[in-house]
Amino acid sequence: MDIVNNLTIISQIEIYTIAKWLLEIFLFVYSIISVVVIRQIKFMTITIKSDTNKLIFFFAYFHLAVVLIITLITSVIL
Amino acid sequence: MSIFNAILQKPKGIRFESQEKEEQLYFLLRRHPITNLGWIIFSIFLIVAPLALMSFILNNKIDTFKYVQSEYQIILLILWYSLTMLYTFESFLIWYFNVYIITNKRVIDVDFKGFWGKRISEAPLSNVEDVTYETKSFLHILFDYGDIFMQTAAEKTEFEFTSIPKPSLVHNKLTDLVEEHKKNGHSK
Repeated sequence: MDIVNNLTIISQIEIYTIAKWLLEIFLFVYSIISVVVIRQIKFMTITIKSDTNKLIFFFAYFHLAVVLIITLITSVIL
Repeated sequence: MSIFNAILQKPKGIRFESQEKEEQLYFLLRRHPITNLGWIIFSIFLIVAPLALMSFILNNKIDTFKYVQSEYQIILLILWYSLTMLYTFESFLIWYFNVYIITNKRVIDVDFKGFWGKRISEAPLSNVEDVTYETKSFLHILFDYGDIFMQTAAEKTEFEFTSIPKPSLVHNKLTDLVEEHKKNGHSK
């Protein structure tokens, strides 16, 4: 019975380790996407220069900040 | 706020990449805001879904901590909302940066293709031969938007401005501009 319990605990730990790694990889890709979004906005604001572009940039940087905070929280909590 | 405007007539404070010194911007057009309804409703669903699920779990007193650790629940929730934010923001950007520009010299179609780039097509007014507009559905009539098609003498024979607001107004102004341009013969 002990052996079965131990095996269950080990497999649970492995699942969480895999989940944690997947989450970290996902967050890494997500951070890159957030930077790509900023790049594409820069790219487009060259094409169309408008006063409202500042607001778009604000949202893009806010989005990046949120992603970085999530990445930080994830690495601290888990 | 001009950030949500789909039709800007002689807009101030807006310029575009290849604009010449004496070139005047007559119209800056985007798809009618009602065309955004699909992704807006989907975004609202993405926002509401976890809340609905949580209230269902609380009402039925299901112990989710038995299956998923609390830390993972919080992070999954944050991730869900960040992805929702990304989806909403990207959908908005696609709408915002897909513009049609009409100047006193040419028409320009700027296609923003999400993460993968942009495509800019333009035709001088002297090449525009025929301008047609079309409203073809109940929504088009209800919200006064439609498509404008332009036949040009260039290699790309047809320009299409899809789902733009006030198509009759834009059509009238565009035909006036083309006529004026051809009469004056200043195609440079």
